[in-house]
Parts: sequence; C-alpha cells; structure tokens
Amino acid sequence: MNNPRFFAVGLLLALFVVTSAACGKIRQPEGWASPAVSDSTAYFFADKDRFVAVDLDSAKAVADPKSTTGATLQPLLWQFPSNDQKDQDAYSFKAVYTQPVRDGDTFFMASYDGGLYRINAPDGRGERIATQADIKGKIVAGPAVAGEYLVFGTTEGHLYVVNKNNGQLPVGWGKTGKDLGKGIWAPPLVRNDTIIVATMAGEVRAFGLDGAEQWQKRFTASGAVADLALLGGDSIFVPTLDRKVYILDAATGAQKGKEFVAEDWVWSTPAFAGGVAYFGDFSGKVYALDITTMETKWKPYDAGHRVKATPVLIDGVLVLADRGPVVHFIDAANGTGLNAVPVVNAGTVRAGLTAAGGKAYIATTKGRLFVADPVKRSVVEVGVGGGK
Amino acid sequence: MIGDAFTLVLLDPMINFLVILNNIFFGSFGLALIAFTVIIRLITFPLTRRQLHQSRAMQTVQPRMAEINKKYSDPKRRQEEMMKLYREAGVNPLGCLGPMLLQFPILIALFYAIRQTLPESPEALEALSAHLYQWTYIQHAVPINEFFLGIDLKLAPNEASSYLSPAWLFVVLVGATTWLQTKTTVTTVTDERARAQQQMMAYMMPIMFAFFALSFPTGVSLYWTINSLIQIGFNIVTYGLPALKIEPLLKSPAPAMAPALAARSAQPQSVAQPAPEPRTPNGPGRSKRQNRRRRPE
Repeated sequence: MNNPRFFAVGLLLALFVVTSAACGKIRQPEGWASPAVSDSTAYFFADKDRFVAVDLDSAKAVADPKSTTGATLQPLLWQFPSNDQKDQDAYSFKAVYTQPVRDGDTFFMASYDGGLYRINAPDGRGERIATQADIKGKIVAGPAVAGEYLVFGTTEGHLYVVNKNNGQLPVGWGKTGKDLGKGIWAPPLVRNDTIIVATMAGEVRAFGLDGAEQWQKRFTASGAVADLALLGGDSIFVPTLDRKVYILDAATGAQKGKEFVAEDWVWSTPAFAGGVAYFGDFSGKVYALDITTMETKWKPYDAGHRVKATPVLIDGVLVLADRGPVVHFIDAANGTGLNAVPVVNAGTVRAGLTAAGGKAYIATTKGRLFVADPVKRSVVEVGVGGGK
Repeated sequence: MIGDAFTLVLLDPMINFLVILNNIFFGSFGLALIAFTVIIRLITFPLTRRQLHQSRAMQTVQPRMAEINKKYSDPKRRQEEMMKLYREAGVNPLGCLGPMLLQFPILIALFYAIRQTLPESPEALEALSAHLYQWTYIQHAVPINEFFLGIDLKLAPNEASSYLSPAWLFVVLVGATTWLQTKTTVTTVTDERARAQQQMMAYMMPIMFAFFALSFPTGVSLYWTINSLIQIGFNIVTYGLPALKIEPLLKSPAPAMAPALAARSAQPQSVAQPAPEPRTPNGPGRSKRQNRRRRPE
C-alpha cells in the first residue's frame, strides 16, 4: 500500500465485498410448523408471523375469481394476531417451528424469538404467556404439553418447564431451565410424565416433571439430533445429522438393535405403522425401516429432492413432500411410486404433513395450504378467502 | 452459472476446510479461523515475498522518479521516462497488487462460508447440508460451536444486543491493525502530493475497514485482524521499524538493475541525467499550474 492507487484498489475491494455481502442471500427464519386439522377446520401459518384458521367445509367454499381451473376459496375463520392486535408487541411473533399443540380448546405455541403464546381455538383470540422463566436462546423445539406444564427447549441448550396457565415455574426447575450444554432443536417428547429430550451434541435424556433424571444412563448418538419421535408408545426414533437412525427403548433409553445408516442427513420424523418407520433423508431417499430388525422393507425410493417433511401413511399409501416441492404417492407395501405431483410457485415444503379425514395436508414456506388425496393421487390448493 | 462455479470451486472447499480445522482445533471455530488465516498466508507467501521485493525496489528508484517528475512537465514524456525507468530497474509498479487482489475472493468466500457454517436460522442449518462433503469426519462436527472467547463469530457488531458486546472489540482491532499495517509499510515518497495522499490513506483505510467491520460477521474481522498482524510482521522483517530502531531482518536483494541504469547510477548526476527538456517559459520541468501554486499571493 505504498502507492495511492492501492488505496483506490483497497476501496474498490471493500466496496465490492460490502456490495456482495449486502446482495447475499442470508436465510431468515421462516418456520416449519405442520398444519393442524380438526372438525373440518385447518390451522396453519399463512405467514411466518400469522396463524390462521380456515373452514374446510366444501359447502362454504366460494369460487376463486382469479382461478381459470374452477378452484375455490375456503372462508377464513380467524387469524392471530387479529387486525386489532397485529401492531402490538404483545402479540407479535417470528417463525414457529413446532406444530402448535392443542390442549382442549387452546393452542399453545412457541416462537423462534422466544415467545410463548396461548390461542383460543374457537375465536383465535390469543395472548403471550407471561412467564417467570428467563428464556436463553431461540425456541425451535416445542412446546409439548405435560399435564399442567409446557415443555420446550432452546437453541442455547436450556430445557424449560412452565405452568401453561400462569407461566409459573414448577419446583425443581430454575429460572433459566436446565442447561443441557448444547442446543435443543428436537421437540421434546412427553411419555407418562417423563420428558424425553435430545441435544445437538447427540445426547438423549429423560427427566421427570420434578427435574430429576430418569434413565440410569443417557444415550449418546454419534451426531447431532435435530428431531425426535415416539413410535408406538414404547420406542424412540432418533435421527442424526451424521446420517444415522437409532431406535431406543422409551422406558430405559437403551438402544434397540443396531443403528441404520442413511445416505444423508436425517432431519425428519417418520410415519409409523406395523413396526415400520417410513422417512426420508436429505439425499432424497425414502426408507421403510423395520424397527425390530433394523432392515429396510424395500429398496429406497428416490424422491429426487431433499426430504425434510414428515410423511403420512393413509390407507397403505405413503404421502410425502420433498423440497422440490413434489408430492409423492408411494405404495407402502413395496415402495413403488404411484404418482408424483409437482407443486409450483408455492415455495418449498419443510413442515411435516398432517393426515386428517383420509387426506394429507401440506403447508408450504409461502404460507399456502395444499391437500393431497391418496385415492385420486392428486394435489389441490386450499385457497383462503372471505370470512373475517 | 458464476454463482455455481463460485460455490463449487471456492465456497464449498472453504466451508469443509474450516470444518476440518474446527475438528483439529478441539471444536473451536475461532482457532480454526486463525489457523485458516495462517495457512492462507503461507500459501500466498511467494506472492507476498514478491510484493515486498517490489516495494523495496520501488524505494530504490524513488530518487530517480523524483528527478523525472521534476524534469519533465509533459505528462506523456514523463510517463515514458517512468516506464523506461521501471523497465531498466526491473520494477513492476503493479507488482504489489497480487496479494491484495487475492483478498477479494477470499474475503467474499469467507463472508459466506462463516454465514453458512455458523447458521443463523434453522433454515440456514438445513442449507449447510448441501455444502458439506459426505465425509463422516465432517458430518460429525455439525453444528459448529459459534462462540470464541465469549464472542459469537457469526454475528456482526451492529447485530449485537448491546454496545457492551465484546464483538465491538473487533471493530477497534480491525481499525488498529489496518493502521499499523499502513504505518509499517515504509515508503520514500518525494512528491509532496503523493505524500499527502499517503497520509490521508494511512487514516482513511483503518476508518473504512473499521466501518465495514461493523456489518461483517465477527469471524471475518478475526480473519482480517490476524491477516493484518501477519502482514505487520512481514513489514517489520522487511523494512524494519525505524521508530523503535529495529533494523530489517530480511535483507532481500533489490531486483537486478539493468546494466545501463546501474552504470548511470554509479556515474555523477550530470553524466547520468537524460537529455534535458527544452527550457519552457515556466522553468524546467514545471507547468504553468505548478508555478501558479508556488507563487505567493
């Protein structure tokens, strides 16, 4: 830098770097909570900060004026936050990664920016739960309901239990929860008042509601565990980011059989039936794993794109959405592809699918909802319009 | 297309290399970044040596350059004489640019590599899978611990929750090391204007880089700081540090002068001088503008 022209070069360099950086695509939190469906109402995130309820009753559908294919719009029942709430900090949230859990007439959900919310399912009126907990980190994992309590973990590795009605902390749990040392990304499981939780260090542990450790020995996987599922009530499905899947005994935490090695990251939970777990990995392969023998039932099905979303099994047909997104209908008996329907201009699919009324509901990252019919092997959008 | 090539050739190897270094250095991404900087400097050492070599050579021809500046008012002629001088002295005035230009792709790739390797959101962690090689040694490392000495390496200081965040320390470090780097680059500039520009540069560069450090992930600032410290070391070894009476340790020979120039340098100035320009009404080697500037009001 002994010449003024180097100053100019340096300046250009810096400007170029800054410009490139500014133009760069840095992924912001979008959320991937699955839709919930009950009593002909679908609840899903129409945006990363807007939770809506839509009436699925076909009799209430109106024609979509923009559609050239005769598509219809379903009435919007409510949205949270509602129009009179949305500009208030108390109701604002950013990205939700775990399906809001329904407890009676109330939905509970946790947002990435550390908020806990209670929403009334019939009318959508909701509020932030004021809690004594000093939440460290961001919430991807949870909440799960354990009796009177909500259980959730944070990306900084703290596991929290708070009273779902008043946000109070139960005995045995500190204000900053239980520090498990590494991030908690997998939604905690609740089984017989036992909380089962996994960390990105690969540990799977069990705690009682009093905070006491339940298993004699915690399980340690070889890679990070970003998801967790309870299979048939007595087994735990433990997928890892280093391509493995373990099955644990839910009562003791002991590993059952050998681990299964997939082709790429497994960051998804399975559809489960008849002792077989159906899931996909990031290479796009879909497996049917017999959790007793830890052998695959059929040759992996190639979806072609990364699979993050949990599939559903409806009447022997595995319905799965990849990141294309393409919705696949696969014969669960032998792994044969029955149909593959691309979903265009709707973003991608990371949220798990939800089965209800013999159909599969699929939420996309652009906040759109689709319904897949395993009988017709077709996919139709549930348009939202009218209503409140 | 360019983006794909950038990802395949530069970004992905850099991400995987950083993850490997992270594993080697006990899961500390900060140490991995420091090791990465040192390795990059080792790889580019031949270029750095050439740059220092050229800088020293430029110093040796500075008196002759001053002479040419003084003697010729016609810019075209002056340029010709300068080029002749460079050619005879074996100096390339752009020779110092190599290592600096190399910083372009490295900085850009490092910016993205840190953003990808230390993801800010679950979506970004998911995207990281597309960049990692399918080696068990690498896959085991995910997710990478983003903290180094209590500093979140993925966050930029202006994203920090408080002005007391240690991330702000890196803004100061980037500015200070850039300033030191400039100050340890000893140059002999005879032209007043060039000296003024150099003075300005010595203060502007650190301010500018400190300003950019505000919005860069702290990991990039760590790279820049270590990189500057290494360069300061090279500068001291090459030029010494007159302020502290430190002599240059590396006595790298100046590039071999062309025999004609060497002979001219050895002869008395009157013999070595090139044919003088015809005297102008403004005086030899002076333009009207230069005279106007020097004339008292």
